[in-house]
Amino acid sequence: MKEWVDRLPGWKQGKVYIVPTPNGLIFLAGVAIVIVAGATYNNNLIFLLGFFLFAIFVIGMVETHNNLRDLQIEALPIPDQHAGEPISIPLKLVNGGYGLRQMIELVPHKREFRYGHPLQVDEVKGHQQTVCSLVCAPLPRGVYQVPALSLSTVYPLGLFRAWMMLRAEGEFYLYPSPSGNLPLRLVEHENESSRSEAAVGHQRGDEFREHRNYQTGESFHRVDWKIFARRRRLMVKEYEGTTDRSFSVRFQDVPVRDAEKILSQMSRWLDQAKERGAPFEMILPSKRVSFGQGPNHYKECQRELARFKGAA
Amino acid sequence: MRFDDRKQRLVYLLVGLNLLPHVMTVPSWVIGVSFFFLIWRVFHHLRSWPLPQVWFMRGLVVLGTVGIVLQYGTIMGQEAATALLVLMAAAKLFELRRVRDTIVVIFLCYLLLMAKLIDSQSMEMTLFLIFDVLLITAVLAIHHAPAEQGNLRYMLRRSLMLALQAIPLALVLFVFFPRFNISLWSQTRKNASQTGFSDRLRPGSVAQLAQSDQVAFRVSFPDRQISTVQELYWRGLILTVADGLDWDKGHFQKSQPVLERPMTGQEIVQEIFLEPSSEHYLFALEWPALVMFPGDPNLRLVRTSEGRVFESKMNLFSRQYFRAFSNLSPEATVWEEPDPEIYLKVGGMVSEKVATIAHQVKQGTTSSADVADRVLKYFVDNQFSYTLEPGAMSGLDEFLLVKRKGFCEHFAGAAATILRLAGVPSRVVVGFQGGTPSLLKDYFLVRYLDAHAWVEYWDTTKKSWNRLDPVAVIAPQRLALGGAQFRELVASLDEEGNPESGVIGEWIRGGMGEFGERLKLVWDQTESLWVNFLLRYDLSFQKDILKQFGLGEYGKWLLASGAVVISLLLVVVGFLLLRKTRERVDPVLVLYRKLCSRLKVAGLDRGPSEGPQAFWLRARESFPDRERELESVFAPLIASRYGLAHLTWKERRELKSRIKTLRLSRRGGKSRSPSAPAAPLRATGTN
Amino acid sequence: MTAALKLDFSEYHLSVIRVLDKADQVILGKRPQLKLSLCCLLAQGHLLIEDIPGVGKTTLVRLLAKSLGLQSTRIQFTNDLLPADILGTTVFDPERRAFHFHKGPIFGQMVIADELNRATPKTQSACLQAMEERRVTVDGVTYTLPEPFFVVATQNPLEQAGTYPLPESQLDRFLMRIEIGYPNEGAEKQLLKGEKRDRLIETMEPILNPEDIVKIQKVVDDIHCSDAIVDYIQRVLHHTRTQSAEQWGLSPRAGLALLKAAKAWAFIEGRSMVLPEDVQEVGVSVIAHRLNRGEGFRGGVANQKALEVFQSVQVD
Repeated sequence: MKEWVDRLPGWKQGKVYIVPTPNGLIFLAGVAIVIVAGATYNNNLIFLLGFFLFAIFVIGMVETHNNLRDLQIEALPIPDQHAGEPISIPLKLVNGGYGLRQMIELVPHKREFRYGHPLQVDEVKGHQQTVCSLVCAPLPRGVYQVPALSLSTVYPLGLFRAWMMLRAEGEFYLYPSPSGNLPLRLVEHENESSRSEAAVGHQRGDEFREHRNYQTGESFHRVDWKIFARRRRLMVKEYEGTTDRSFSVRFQDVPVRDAEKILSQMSRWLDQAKERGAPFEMILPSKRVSFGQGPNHYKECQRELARFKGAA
Repeated sequence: MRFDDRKQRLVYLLVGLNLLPHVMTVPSWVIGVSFFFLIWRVFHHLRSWPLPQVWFMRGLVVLGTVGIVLQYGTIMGQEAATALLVLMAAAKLFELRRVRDTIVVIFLCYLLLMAKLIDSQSMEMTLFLIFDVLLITAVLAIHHAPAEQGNLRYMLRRSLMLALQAIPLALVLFVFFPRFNISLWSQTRKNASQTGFSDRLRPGSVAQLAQSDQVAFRVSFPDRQISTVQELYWRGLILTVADGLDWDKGHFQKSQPVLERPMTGQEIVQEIFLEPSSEHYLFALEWPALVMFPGDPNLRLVRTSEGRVFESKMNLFSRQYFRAFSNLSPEATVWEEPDPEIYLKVGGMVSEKVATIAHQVKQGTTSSADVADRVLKYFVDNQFSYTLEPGAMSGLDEFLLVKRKGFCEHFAGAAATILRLAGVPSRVVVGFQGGTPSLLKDYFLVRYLDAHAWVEYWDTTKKSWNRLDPVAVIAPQRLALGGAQFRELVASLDEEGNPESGVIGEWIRGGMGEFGERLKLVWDQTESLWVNFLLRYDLSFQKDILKQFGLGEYGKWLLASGAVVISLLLVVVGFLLLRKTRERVDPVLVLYRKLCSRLKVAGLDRGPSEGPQAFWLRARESFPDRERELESVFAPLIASRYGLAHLTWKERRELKSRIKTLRLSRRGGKSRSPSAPAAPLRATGTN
Repeated sequence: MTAALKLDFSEYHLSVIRVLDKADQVILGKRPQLKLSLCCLLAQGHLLIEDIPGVGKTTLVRLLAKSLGLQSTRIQFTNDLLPADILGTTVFDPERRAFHFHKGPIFGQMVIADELNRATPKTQSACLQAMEERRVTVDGVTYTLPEPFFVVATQNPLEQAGTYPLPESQLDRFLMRIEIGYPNEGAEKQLLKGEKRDRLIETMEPILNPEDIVKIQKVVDDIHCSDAIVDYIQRVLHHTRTQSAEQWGLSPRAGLALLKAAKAWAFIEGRSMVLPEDVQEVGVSVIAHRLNRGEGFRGGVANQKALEVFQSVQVD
């Protein structure tokens, strides 16, 4: 999944380009009017005003251009997240130059990644850095490079827009977006005698441990209706002993043809398994992640899903 | 870009400020409507008054435009365009939907300012221009600045910095940009309100004009030094049609003056900077030979009329600069014999008594010069006196027989009439007499205070017109002192003509008057310098300057390309300069950075969070044989950056050269791993 | 700086170094911790020592008190300790028929507050208030605490039952927080073989006296701190406020603490000016316990975070 890293034809990274904005063109037209008026009335004061405005225009160009000099971006560690939501990418904007850089706008270079308004950084002092968070459009699951960004500014007078293209090193994972409501598959443990293979159940007599949020796809039998009556929330009773169980998240358990849908269901299962704190394994056609527990295990499984390339 | 409250208030302020100068010149209804718009908008902002409907606004703007067209008959004229601009700028305030609209309003403010400069180029206007341009630029900058920097003081400073960078480029363009004359707008104007002479002379009209101390023109003599003002008669217009004390201009064919070159070389050359006026008269020193505008060698812009007075073909609404050449005596000019039909005619009723006076005057004279002398003698013998406040006068009889007191125009009118009655062709000349030397004595300031009227009569023997000024015998001080000082003198005398007795009163009058006059002169001197610069700088002057550089022959294209090349050069220099001077950096820090980059070249890179002492230690480890040299640069740098030591400029230079000459080779430190920078937090204790 | 002050400076500096050397001979291999503790005291701050039992927290404090010639008191905090047990109580003296204030253990020049987190919040705050204000008010009468006045609190990091972790606002009152850690191999062997530490401390002669310490504190206060350092410290504070998403930034008080501690460190290093290195040396101990807010205190993590702060803030 390296579409993002495609070559960006024509734009050289870190090179500053500059063009007048529409406002700049209007300003220039105004300057032309003033100079023509000066010539018409043979009025040197008007000439002086016209030339001064033109000089402001030129200086504005220089300043706008310099406002992007020596800027660099670095990607900060990007937390994994589910696909389907806008992606927030934390970045560090580094000013390697002496002067103040102000009013920098950041936007993904490619149009399809843009989301909402450009990110605006008010100022970065000389030899300093600032951390900001860029929001990208939602993308399908996968492993992505941090997108190339286009930095632009119209500071100080808005007569010119200078921009440049920068790329930060770093990648991030988008897990499949969780969906589907098939029940999670319970695996019998060797020390447990007999458990139904179907939905997660519980045995009366087990010691009550805690309440937790109800998740779609779970059996309604375990919902604590008293709590529902009181708090209008679906809570599930959790019993001591259920932690002894473990789950299996398997590709072949989902009776759908669409691989993406399967992955989405698996992603949801992983979420559920993590929520219950029980060990789980994951089996993909090409890969098997054996039983484990904890955030790292969860991450490993989800990343496998993100990385998954077609059914074998 | 945020659209916030404070920024918008600044825009209102800006529009208000730029409407103000136009209050006097733009029709009052346009100003009224514009301020109404502005105030409505402000109240909409502050009190949430409802905004008018869009169609209503558009209707108003269309109506306004139609009104302007009706008033001026055109939309292309300068005044019509200005009025329209004023209206549009105010109306645009109702359309501030996006940031772009606000920016357009700010740009319109620049144009409003420009429109004002067409009629006014005084010093005050120049000062206003500087302030206003800075302010407008600041407001423009505020609209593109981070929110917390939106305060006006910061942005004014910022725009001042921008302006300082822009000025050199602006000046270069000003000097090198090729001047051309184009006429896109017709230059008509109806409602000018400046002071000026009219085509008629009525008793008291000059006296009234002479109340004003407004500047009429400034004049300098490039060739010679003039020390007295007595003989400075500035002729403006000639009045030929007499009716008692009333004199009119009469109708004459106007023609283009003939360039009489080579002239004799004896002429007095004058450079005259005329203040704006509603008239066309081009004043010149007595017995003018020629008047010409610079850049108009074929005299297309000047016309001459009966009696060798000159007028401008263009209007003189803005400041103008011209040169005049005058002969010292009337004989140098070839005059036509005066037409008796015109120059001997006395209109209206002439009373018996006046006719008798004329008869007496004529009796026993042999030449017209004699008659003129006798007229003066008549005034002296009959104890006529000069007054600054002549009061109303019904006619010749009242002046000659009853009051015997008057201002220059009374004497001039009466003398010319008597001369005509006595058979001597005569006419009244209106203009100025005298002037005030400037502070630096480099020019004379002629004000309406100096307005004067006198007589010219035809000298039959010399075949030329001669000047006859009755004031020369009635009030010689007026001519010797000039209008301004004479007025002061009169003010300091009491009713009987003796100096006022009260010492303090005199001191106050004299002192304050003098002080005030001096202040005026100081102000005028500065203004004159500025006017001089602004008005003189034109195509011919530009060519002159370039000629001095030996570039004269290549003309405009060279100028244009020169302007482009120099602008580009300045831009490049600007790029280079602006790169580093954005932030004031401690000079010691600059040195330290130099040292760091020097060490980096030698393979020792300072970590971003590494302190100076740690870095020094590491450098010492890497270059053990350079321990002393390293100490000689590190120690003073650390001591002056973090301690109380202060490095003088010399010491800094010394340090700089030491850093430059630091010879570093990795000989000693080769065994150490260069890629393992010491952890910045490692203990670095010296004990 | 006047000549007299300069003389004082080197003299005091030497004696402070002697204190360090002497203490180093008693507690083996803990020179950095000793130096930090000393630095904290010279900067007129209170010290929080956090480590597991038995690594010599108390020994270290007693050793410092002894060699600085300070009279030390010790309070063992338990969960039934009441504020009056620390501050003192007013008792009726039947002989003199008058009320008499019986000073509590807080009236010491060096107060060792052992296992501060075992006391109830009420008691803790009484103690911490005294630390902050350097005076005690009991039954409407205000008593000034002796000068110099240091509190060295120790705290057990292990999550044990019956502890009341110090709230963030209280942690802020300690200028520094240090850990002691296990001794290294050589030191440990020597410790096992050698003389009993308590006896060594008992027999030690004080090197400084309380008046000296007050004077040294003045000298430390006068140490030059250039604008460059102020800028640097400000950048550190700014960094913590803007650069990390999960924690709150440092307070202005933390900045002052950093400056004070850096000055003291510069003094111990024998310098009359503060260098960025001084700030970095004391930095972790000063800011680590102020960085972690809301998520409970975990020493190792906090130290790592503080270290990252100083590694990423640019020195100019």
